Amino acid sequence: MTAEELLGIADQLFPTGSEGRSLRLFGGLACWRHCPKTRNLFNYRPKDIDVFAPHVDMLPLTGRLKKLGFGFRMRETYKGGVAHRFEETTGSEVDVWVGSLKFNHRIPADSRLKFDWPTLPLAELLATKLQIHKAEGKDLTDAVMLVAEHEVGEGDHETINLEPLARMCRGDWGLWRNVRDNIDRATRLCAQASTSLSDEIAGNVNQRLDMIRRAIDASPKALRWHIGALCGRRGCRYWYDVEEFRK
Amino acid sequence: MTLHRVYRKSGLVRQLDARDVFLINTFGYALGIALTINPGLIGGFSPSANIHIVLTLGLVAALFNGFTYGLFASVMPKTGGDFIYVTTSLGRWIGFLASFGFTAAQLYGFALNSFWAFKQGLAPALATYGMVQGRAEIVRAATFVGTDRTSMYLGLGLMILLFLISLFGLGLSKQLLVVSFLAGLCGPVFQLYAFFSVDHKTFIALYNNFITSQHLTGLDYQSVIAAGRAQHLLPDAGRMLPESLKALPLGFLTFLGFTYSAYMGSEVREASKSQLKGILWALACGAGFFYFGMGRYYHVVGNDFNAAISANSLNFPSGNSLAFFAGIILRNPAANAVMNIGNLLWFILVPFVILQVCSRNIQVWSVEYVFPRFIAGTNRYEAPAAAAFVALLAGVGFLLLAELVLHNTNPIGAVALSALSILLSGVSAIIYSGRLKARSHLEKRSLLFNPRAFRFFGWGTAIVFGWVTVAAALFPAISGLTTGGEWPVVVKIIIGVYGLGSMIFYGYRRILISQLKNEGLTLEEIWGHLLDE
Repeated sequence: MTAEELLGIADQLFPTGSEGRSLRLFGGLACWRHCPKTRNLFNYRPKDIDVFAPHVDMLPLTGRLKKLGFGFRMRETYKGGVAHRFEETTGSEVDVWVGSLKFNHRIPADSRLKFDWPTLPLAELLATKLQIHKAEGKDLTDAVMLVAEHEVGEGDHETINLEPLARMCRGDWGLWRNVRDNIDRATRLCAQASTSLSDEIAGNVNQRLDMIRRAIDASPKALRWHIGALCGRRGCRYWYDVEEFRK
Repeated sequence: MTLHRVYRKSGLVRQLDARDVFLINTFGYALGIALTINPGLIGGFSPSANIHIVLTLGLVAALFNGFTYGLFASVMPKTGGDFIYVTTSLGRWIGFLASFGFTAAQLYGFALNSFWAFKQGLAPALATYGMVQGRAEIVRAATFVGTDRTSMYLGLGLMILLFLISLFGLGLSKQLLVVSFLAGLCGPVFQLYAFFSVDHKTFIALYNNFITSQHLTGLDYQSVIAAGRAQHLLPDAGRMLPESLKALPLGFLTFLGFTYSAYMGSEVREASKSQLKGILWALACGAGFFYFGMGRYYHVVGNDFNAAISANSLNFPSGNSLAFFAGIILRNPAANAVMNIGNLLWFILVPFVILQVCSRNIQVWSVEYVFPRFIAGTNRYEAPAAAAFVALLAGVGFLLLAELVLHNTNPIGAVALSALSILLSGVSAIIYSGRLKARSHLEKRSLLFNPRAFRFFGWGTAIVFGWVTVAAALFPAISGLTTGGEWPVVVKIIIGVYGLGSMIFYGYRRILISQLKNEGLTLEEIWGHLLDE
């Protein structure tokens, strides 16, 4: 399935009304959706749909996905909720995460879902990419794409809100560490990709990444952050391991 | 179902490692409690049994059980244990019954262990300490705590407290287990020290001195043996082997709980390494303590004395546990206090671990659509709060039932129900091995994770736990029934629990089918993913 087709499916998955309002798109497709101007600058197309909901009745959603050609394949509890996987005959997948948005780090998104729809707010969307402990090229590409197309600052309307990013890093040294590392990696990636990015875009990305870095560094850190730093700097594991679906 | 089929997308967070698996399982069989309580239980049930043979038989049973669950938990790293393994091979109804029976037995254990924490944990500890120290007020407090009604109220309070702690999620629970394990080890270690520091003669002298000083008439060493003889509680060397075989279920009961981590499978990272490692290390730790500790205890107090202390006519002031006799030997107040606090921690943490296991079982029933769906949710600390609340309600109900209605706080039927679930998992492993065999490429993967291993341990588990199930039904004492001729009670309990489970299963299935119709779905689409191809 092409990214455009997946986007069409995703749009049908989120009907207006209270039912659809509890679901949020995230992952590569959400980034792609948010970046109509810059997405073609990168040689990367999302292949799957990732959906998050703090609470949702899965039966109606399963029915809707069936109508769209996605059969239920498996479900599995994880630390923080239940993950559901649906597959389409061509191999495209829809993963629905019900509970917490928790991967290498927990991204507290529940209270801020109202600020965007049908995707996660941009700050949280970016955080899901920057929290990855061993971020791959496509994750960094998504992050660069988001930053290239959106201002950083205050507010959530087509803007990456610095306040929630700084807040989530304030109490979690591990998250802060990985976000910082990935900002550095994204900066390097941007330099490598400078042939496909105009100077203006590359300059904007670097400037905005630097603003994010300064914002998360400048926020006053909680006691938990300092305790995490003590442990993390001494070699303790500061991220959660994530494992793949296994049937 | 495809073994080790991995998908390219990652994301499932798993928090427990091999150390946590070890801790959960060690608290599962409650090292401190098993060491303290089981020698008296085995002595009273099979006076002629040799403790080393009983433990060896129990260990063999545990090894089959441990490998079967360890293998399953490694290749199916999912929360739910029996429910997942049995459903895969025998279908969802049998899978649910196996899990429902096990969970019911464990919830009964949750209730009783909370009660025993005071009745057999705190009260004897206070009594022993008070007597050794000559502090009458502590002995009076022990008597108060040890009354059934007081222990029930305190047990209810403990259950609620443990429920509240469990709401704060696994992060806090992990830390609690680490600290408690280190502190709790003081109990078994001090007991071992006590029994290794004296010989048989010294023990008799110390014991008799203590009994005389406390004016406990009729409880001196020779009187105890005489009371045991009067009730045929005397070892007979000629019956050692059959009596040891008869006590196999109790030998296994000593280790029961060492596979609890399998029920939290989704939360264990690198399950193929961590599960089996943690399970076997927990088993090895228990076996070491039990062989040395119980063996030495039998040697020091004498087989005849250990058998006789179960005589009905005897009324020890603080129970007939191993800790009581260790306390008499230790005498030192600080050592006594540390030992008793250590033992008490095991009593308190066992119901906590049981609550964790049961709440995850209940959560997974809900996630897998055999139980109301709202129970699947987690709270802000990522704990399965609704499922834990259901477990708490069941536990409270069981304790009130046992204390106020049945007037029997023994784990009636629990051994049989647990053994039946393990038996069904053994049968599932045999069936599963047949399916794996068809996939020849999987056989080459590993020396351990192959069809032959599943078949071998599956057969072993099925045979051993077939016997444990039958024995638990045949011999009332194994299920905590104190008088003979009541074995059908256990059968009635199994039929009752499985009947209730079937009603819930088919009742909810009916509701689900109508809901699925509305969404254009079928049962196979929702349930089929666990069934092996």
